[in-house]
Amino acid sequence: MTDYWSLDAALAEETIVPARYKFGAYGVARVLEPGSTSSDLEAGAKVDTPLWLATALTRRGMASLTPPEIYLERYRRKLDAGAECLNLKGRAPYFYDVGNKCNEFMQDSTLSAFLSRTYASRYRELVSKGLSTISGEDMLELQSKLSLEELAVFEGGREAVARAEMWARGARPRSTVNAMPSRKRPIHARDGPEGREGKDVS
Amino acid sequence: MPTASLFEYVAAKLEDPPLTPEELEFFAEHEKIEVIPNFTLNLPNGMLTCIEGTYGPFRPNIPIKVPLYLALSLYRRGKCRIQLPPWMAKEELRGTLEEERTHPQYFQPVPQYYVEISKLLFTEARAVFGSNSELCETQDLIEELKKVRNSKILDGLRKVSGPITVKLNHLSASESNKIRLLFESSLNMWHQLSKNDKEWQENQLAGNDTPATL
Repeated sequence: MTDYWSLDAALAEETIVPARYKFGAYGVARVLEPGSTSSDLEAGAKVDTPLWLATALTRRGMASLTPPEIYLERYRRKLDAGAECLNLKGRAPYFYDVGNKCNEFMQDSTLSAFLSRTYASRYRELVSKGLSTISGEDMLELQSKLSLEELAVFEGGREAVARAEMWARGARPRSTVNAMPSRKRPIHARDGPEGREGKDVS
Repeated sequence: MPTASLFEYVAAKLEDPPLTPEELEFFAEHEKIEVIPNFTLNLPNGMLTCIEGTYGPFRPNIPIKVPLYLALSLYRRGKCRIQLPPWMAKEELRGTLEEERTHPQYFQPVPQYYVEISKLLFTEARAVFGSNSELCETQDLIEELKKVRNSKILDGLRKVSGPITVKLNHLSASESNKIRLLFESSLNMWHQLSKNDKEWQENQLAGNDTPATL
């Protein structure tokens, strides 16, 4: 459905979505609903399924899906009021992705406008914190609230600025050297830390 | 129509950014700067032929324009005096700073690599500036300029609220590199979010609301 090789897209589709099965399903009840009594799903059952399964079934007309809780009225009001304060990382790390995919199957014309609005208000915070060099509590607090897509954008900005600052100060970026301390040989004298770095004991 | 994942657009290439500040410094070293050599080059016409151009004639006490990398390596060997570029004179810098402060909507024209060139001159060619206090003053002025422009950039970015085009003219190379990843990714995200909206609306109008087969 999406880019086959994208790891993040696959993870996004793991999100659980409530779906209503029009037809029953044999043998999968225990997998989808660990607490069920029989091993078959009856027709018309409402089960929480991962998004990839729900969309595949809906395309074939075998189920109908409803968006997860976070896109419903209650949360919309919360987000419209104060979008920056809501912790998306905990509730819906793939907020925008899942919203976009649900958009196809839903009769709700306001969903994508809602997504854009949310992004608009959170974006302002992203930019101001992302491109400043002052790290610390503020930034950590913001980072813990961002969904994963927003986090990618934020990190991009922060990395660029950090690199530029390090360059301006004349420092070199710390390379990821595998600092394996070599075993001490009693015979040779070590010639300081330079000699030890990166030497493999073969 | 299958929707793409946002990560395809927002995939922040953190491990290998498209341009590092070190690479920008390399590009900046191509800028021309005026130099007064104190030797004569023993080549026909005194000209030095490099791959990218010919420079010279290298005669003592005659100022010539050479690329910055050449100027710096001659300076290190004690073979020339570097002249301060005209835009780096204190009065010029003060004037530019004033202009920046009085016009918050747009940027002043500034040499494309002013950050890199000033850093190179401060670290490697301190004698270019008359005295230590002059050096510090110029350093302070450039820092001020950087800060004012930076805050203007942030203000402009904050106002972006959709997949629109933003006008940021006279942006220097290092400034545009800082905002490159963030700006590009967020514009991509805007674009994708609004594209989904349009697609859905078109689908509804066209009447093919029924789920297509996989």
